[in-house]
Amino acid sequence: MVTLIVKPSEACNAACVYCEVDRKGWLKTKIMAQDTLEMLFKRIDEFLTARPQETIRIVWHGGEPLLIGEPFYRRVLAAQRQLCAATGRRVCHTVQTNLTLFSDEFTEVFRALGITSLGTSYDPVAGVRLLRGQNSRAYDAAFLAGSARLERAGFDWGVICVVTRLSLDRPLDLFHFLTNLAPQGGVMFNPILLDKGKQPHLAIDDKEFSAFLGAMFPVWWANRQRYPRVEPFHSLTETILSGGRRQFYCTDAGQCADTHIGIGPDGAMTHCGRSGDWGLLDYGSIHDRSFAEVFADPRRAELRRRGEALRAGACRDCDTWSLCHGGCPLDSWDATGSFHGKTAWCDNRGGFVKTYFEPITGIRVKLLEGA
Amino acid sequence: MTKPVLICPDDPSLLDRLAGQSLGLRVAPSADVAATVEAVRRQNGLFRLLVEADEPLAAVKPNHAWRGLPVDLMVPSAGRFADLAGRLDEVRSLGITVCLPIGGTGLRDARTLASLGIRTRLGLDGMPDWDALGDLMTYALLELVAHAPIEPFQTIADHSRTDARTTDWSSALFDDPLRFLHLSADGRIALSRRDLLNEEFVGDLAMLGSPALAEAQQARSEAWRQLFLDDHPCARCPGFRLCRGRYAEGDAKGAGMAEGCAGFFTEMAGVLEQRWLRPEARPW
Amino acid sequence: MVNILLTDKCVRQCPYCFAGREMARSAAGEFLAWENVVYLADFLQHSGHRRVSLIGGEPTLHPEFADIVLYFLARAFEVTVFTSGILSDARLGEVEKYLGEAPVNRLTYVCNVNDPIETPDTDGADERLGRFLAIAGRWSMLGFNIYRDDFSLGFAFDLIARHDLKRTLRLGIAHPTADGANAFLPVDRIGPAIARLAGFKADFERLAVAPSLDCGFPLCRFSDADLGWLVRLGGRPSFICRPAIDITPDMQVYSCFPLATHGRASLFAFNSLQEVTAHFAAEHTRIRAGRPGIFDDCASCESRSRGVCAGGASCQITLMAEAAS
Repeated sequence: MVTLIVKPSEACNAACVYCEVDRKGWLKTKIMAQDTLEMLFKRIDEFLTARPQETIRIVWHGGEPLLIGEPFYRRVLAAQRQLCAATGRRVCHTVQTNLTLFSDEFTEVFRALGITSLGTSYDPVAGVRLLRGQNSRAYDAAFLAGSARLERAGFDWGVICVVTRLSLDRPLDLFHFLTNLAPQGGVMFNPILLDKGKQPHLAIDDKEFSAFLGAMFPVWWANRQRYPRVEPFHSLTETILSGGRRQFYCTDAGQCADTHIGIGPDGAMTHCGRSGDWGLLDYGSIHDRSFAEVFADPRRAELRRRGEALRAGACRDCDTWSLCHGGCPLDSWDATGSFHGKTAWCDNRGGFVKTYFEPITGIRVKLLEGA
Repeated sequence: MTKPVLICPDDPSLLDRLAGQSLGLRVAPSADVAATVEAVRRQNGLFRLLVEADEPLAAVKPNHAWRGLPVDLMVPSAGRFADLAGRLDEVRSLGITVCLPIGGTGLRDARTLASLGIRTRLGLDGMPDWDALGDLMTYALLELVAHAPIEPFQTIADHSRTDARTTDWSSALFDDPLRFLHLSADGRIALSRRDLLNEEFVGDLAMLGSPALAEAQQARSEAWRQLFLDDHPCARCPGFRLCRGRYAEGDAKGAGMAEGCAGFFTEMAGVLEQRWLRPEARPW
Repeated sequence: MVNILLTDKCVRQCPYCFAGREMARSAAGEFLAWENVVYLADFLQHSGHRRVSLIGGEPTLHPEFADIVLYFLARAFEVTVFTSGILSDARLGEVEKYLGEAPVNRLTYVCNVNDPIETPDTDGADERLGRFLAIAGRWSMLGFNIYRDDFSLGFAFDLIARHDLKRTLRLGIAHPTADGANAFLPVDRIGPAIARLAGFKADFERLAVAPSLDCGFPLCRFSDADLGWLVRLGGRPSFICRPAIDITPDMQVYSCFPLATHGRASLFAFNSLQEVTAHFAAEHTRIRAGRPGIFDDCASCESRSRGVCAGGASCQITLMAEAAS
């Protein structure tokens, strides 16, 4: 499956303290134009027609993708129906939203797009997620109201919680808060990723994040039937039990060079959503290049060689290699200026497995095939 | 929104104003049930008869007109077992549900009656003895031998799912504001039985079917979200999925949670998981 | 056999009481909680067992005695109550009011009686017993514990005849407690006691009373004629000592009063009566590992090796082993 991280706008009604959308130094506030939207679906149709077994997932991202309103998604639906008449069945949509703007108007069009679940962001710790010009309580109130409307409309939703220094001493509080709040869609804990030197009072390192997860893990493991979709625990366990064959996230799979493309409001294509925020890996405009051409770009080939380089170098002796494949190449670029290093968040996988997963579960990861 | 059931007193002047509604009728044990039911069924749907007795079950004279009707007999206790023993067959044959308070001997009586094949329902108003309620919950959910259902535990068992955020069992107590409205004799509407007793009304009969009432029902149904907004301890409690903050205001010590409820509901979550792993063995 | 102690309180102070030591160590005045009554009914039903014996102390002292009996009956159990028959007026009134319609085939009182001359009870006890038997005679049989070899049974036959009681006389050997402090029938007096019992054959026959032997009687001390007599009168003599499961008001379980310290555990540690029985059967096996029976020749006894006779009660063997060491 190919994943397109599409940012129909980079504008946002929130002002989360760690947001990276403007890291590249300029912010495009315009909404994706009709001709760009149509070109997006032409490219999708072109790609899928040439690959009858392939599927595409569009992640509507931002900025805040609901800020541009429900009419945009009606145009998305119309464009898909018109331009992907034969291939549209192989396109699925998800939305990553802060939910504060969700209203009943989105319900019908999201259903028509086949969306059953929305990805959201929330943080019970005050002062991290804010609405522009307001405080985090305003964000929280709008988020909870949005989630109520979402559930009333019959959607599932999952929530991403970004772990900052402010939340490090509350792992179980956050675990229970979010598993109580989020329905079947699940809960994901991610570490805060900050531009160098920014927000030092929020920054954490990989060992701190690993310890944060380690404090929650025994509770999750003992009650994993009750909390089936808490990440990274669920995916990590599945990956370990599959001997590394099942991968769930782009940061761990080591295959993003063949699976991900980021597309900005003006149709600029980059490696993924994150590289788009950073102004990195510009593959040109969707008006000029096909997805096949992007995947054939020499810089993709360089990223494909990363795994080989890591196995010969920094990750040579790692027996949990197949859990993360060196992590996100952008982490490496951020730290060293090269895509061929391992992630600075290494301890989240190998370290976590050795310190917490193995002692608590009794499962020896190194004994598993491919691990 | 589904049309709610109106829980109301058996007052002719009130019933005349409720044509077309589904009713839960509160009646006295001595009421002429047959006539009442006939009158109600002419222009209404009968949800249940809520027979409100102020004597123990052992002292209530069963009304044979109850047979075949959905009857909840609300009693303060079962009474002395020795006084009840000779009437067990009669109570069983009527097929009624015996509603008991959580105070006094209510918990013990629920266990006894359930063990003898009589359905019971606990009114969870007020603060229970959490340890005793925990024992009864375990008994209700992990039965050694088959027994009659004890509500709300049976509903919780039937509706809880491993992956659900919360299990809404308020309907088992006729306390789900989306499904039940409680009416005073003069036709004022409350969103719960507790509101009715506290005379906290949202409006009167003219409000039935209005968007304003629907909004009030919806708001009450989703009031638990306020606990998350306030970062209330209930929002961080491992038992929240089952209690939905029902006891958030119950702690006189000001910690924001009723002492013992967190342990009870957390234990219940574990017991439910044990139950999911067991084969079903209940005949009803 | 499952014995449920409704209370550790008693109204008598029998010299042979083998429960006294256990009663003294348990919390005074404790009554079995109602929730545990329900649990026990579930536990036994789950185990496929529908018989209970309600004992004490004096079980009728439990404030909910009648309720408990009726509850077990409502749960389709057969109930046997081991009582002194010495009840307060109020409790006797409850027995009459609430248990007067109980099915005779599912409720039995075993009234443990003492010889009023040799083992006199407190003042008024005989009168109270008489009043109890007058009310509950249809459901009652007598029980008699032998702690001396010169006992008399005439008073018992009188009671059976006077109150038209069930025609069974339950006979038990008074066994020693772990410290041997009670009045019990020593091993060397068992033979004479059995001979004494045979002396009452005519009375048994006259009233058609079946002698029912409790645990611990050794087969070898009965003559073939005595055995034939026992069987002919409807007795079903057993010479086996199997664990009797005693459950205390605080839900502890042991295999009988004299062995209350052997393998004692919480009933909640077991999933079924079968598990409890297996646990205590293992205890009995351990007890008999050092000494197979109460007599020296038990070791070579064919009846014992064939399982027809246990070679006396395990509690006697324990006491003898402790005395020897």
